[in-house]
Amino acid sequence: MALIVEDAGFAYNAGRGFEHRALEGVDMTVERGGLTVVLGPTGSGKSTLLRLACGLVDATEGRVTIDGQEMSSAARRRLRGRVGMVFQNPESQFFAASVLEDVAFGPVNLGAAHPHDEARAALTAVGLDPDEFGFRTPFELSGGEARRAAVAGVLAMRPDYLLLDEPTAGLDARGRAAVREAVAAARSSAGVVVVTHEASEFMASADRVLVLSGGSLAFSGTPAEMLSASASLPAGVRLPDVARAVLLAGERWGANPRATLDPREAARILTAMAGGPR
Amino acid sequence: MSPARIAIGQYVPVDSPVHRLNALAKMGLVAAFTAALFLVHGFAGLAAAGAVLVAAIALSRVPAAAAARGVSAVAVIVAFTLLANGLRWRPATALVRVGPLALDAAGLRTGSFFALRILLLVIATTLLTLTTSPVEITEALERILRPLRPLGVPAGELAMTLTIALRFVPTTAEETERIVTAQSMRGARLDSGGPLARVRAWVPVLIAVFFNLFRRADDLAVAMESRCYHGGEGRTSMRMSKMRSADWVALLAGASMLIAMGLML
Amino acid sequence: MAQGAGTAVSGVAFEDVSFSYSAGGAGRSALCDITLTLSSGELLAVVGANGSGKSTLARLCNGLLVASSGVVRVDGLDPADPDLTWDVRSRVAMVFQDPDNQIVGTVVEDDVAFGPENLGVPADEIRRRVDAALAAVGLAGFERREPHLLSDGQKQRLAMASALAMEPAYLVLDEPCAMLDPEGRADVLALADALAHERGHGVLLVTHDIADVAVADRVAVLDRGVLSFLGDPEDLLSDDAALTAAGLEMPSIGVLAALLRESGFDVPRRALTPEALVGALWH
Repeated sequence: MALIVEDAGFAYNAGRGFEHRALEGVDMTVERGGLTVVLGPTGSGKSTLLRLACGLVDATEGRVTIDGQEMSSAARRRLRGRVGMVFQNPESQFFAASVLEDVAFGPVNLGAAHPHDEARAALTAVGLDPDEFGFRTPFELSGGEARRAAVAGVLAMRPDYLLLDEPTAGLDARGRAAVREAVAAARSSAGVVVVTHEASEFMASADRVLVLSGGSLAFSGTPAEMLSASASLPAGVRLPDVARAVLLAGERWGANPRATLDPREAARILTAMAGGPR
Repeated sequence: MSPARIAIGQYVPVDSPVHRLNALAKMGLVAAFTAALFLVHGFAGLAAAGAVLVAAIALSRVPAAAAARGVSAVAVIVAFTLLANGLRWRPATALVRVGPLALDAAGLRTGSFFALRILLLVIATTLLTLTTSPVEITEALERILRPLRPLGVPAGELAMTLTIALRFVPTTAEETERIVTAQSMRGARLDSGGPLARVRAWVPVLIAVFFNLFRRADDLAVAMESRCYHGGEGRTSMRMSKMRSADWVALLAGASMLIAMGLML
Repeated sequence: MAQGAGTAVSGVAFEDVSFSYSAGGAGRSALCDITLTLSSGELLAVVGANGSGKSTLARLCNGLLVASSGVVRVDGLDPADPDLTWDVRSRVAMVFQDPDNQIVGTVVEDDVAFGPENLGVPADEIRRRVDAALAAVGLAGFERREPHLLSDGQKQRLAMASALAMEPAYLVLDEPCAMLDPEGRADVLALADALAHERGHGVLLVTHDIADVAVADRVAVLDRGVLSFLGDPEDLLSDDAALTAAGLEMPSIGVLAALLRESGFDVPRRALTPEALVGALWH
């Protein structure tokens, strides 16, 4: 049971003379309950990969399957609700008078028997009390609350796979933490893919990291493997600051330390390298 | 943004004598060209006007296909003009008959005269927008409206409104596309069902789009006020697009030639 | 130009400023008894969580909002005085969070020209200012580009150029990095740094990211409308409790630096980038 992208490629305007390759030979496997983080600079093909995975565009090469079923723009209607997508700035889609109505939009469209119950459950899952927030207007929520309500709007369809494009962009510390918790909650029922340029945000809890560069896969593996392979990562992919500090120190002292995300472990490594306080 | 979406009549930024000609002069020439089209009595006149246009397109270095694309937008109107002016009720001789209606030689001639006139007019205006940036057109409009300011016509404000509208077309288009995609991913059926169902399905999209537009308008108003915008009063312009003597010569000579052509042919 | 009350003291000064969005001071104040001054050549960071009143404070600087009580003065001028509005706004330029919602022009150079045009500056002088401003933000050569084809970071630098073209003494940057990717953010921060410390502008940088204070000379922390800290960034960065109370988060690189200090290394509190931290260890 997984969302599988196999050797997939995509070109905008394929065969029309001004073809633009956005993705080439990309593999991605997302298990239910897993968290895959996709890193890469702006324009590296991250958003295209998400669009491919949810059937918004069809792969020009390779294929995408959802639990063994072929995913394509034609199959999207049949598989709708199975793959949920949270776009950048999802709060720009709010339209209903109350948060509860807005979150229930998906279940209503899918013909759910009790759309409001689904909406309440989804709001609870992202940490918003339905009794407190359900009847407020979505346009007046704070940044973090609005983002979580928008995630709830997708979760309410009970997707098996949840894709999020830059879910923490523009939020303050509290908002980012709240979204991280919402993503963690979503993993209890779905496989999650987060596309971000903020490596530090989700790496610690991810079980898989993909790095895209110029449309192809520059790295694919566990977070630990990525940290040890960091030397071979393409320019423009920034590791979290703590890991970068360790590697940078390694260069200075001519050592070859194992990068880490944990400040305590990093402190131990740096202390050992710098030879104790002077 | 995909490079495939090039709108009809969208500015083609190349360098040519036509591009360099002041927008005001170009608009004057298009006006004279229009007048000539309505003055000519026969096909000789249209042929001459067509020749002038072909020469202008060649001079402008925009692809002829781009100029011709404007025609596709008005194909229906052109066809309608052709038929409305050409069809006769039960004529004696006919080329094509459709029930009691038919197209005879005289009708075909009248119809194609009017249809050709529209075609030439459309291609001429397309050439104007292909060779003149929106900013230049806006500036020229302001210049044209400026004498009306004492009558209470807010020339500067109108031009500013037009500029901002142009500026936000791509932004709004991108945002609308994103909202449409997102809501269809949440199961909204925007492209199926009966007409009423479709209208209902689009309501959430439109609410979201308008809400964002108002928010943008609000933000933009604050940003403009912060940059001291207080109407056209006392504003200057960096690109005082001056009519140079070459522009005046081109305008006056071209316009009188076109009018003369219209009167004589 | 008319002078405001009192002598022309240089700087953007807040004295006991309170502000409430509901008329008559009912309800909670968005800002409460704020006193601080932004001087030329200084980068003052204003940090706080969502809803702490940061943006309200920014908008009081140029008269977009008017204090409910207390006094705001820009080089001694009162932003609330209708006769001085445009004078004040040409001295205090603003850059906002959303790069798309503040660009007016259909091409880059037209947007930069917009401010000076409103001020009635002659055409050839506008040209000079536009060229200088675009060069200052590293966008020379982009004059004829359409803004929607720029990256978000470039759009934000364009907004800064447009502000600079008014030749302001002060720049108020209201969360300019919030919507940018890491490269865009680094570019904008470096630019803010240069504008204050090389070109002598007074720069007020509003942010929710504590890492941004590394480039600041002074930092003000807003916590639900109250100024809970005003002083040296070093002192703020050593006060975890104050940060947490204000809803701010010490970045993990800061946590690492603190651990190293505990083990006796001399790592400056401002060293909030891997380069700065390792540089400090190497010495």
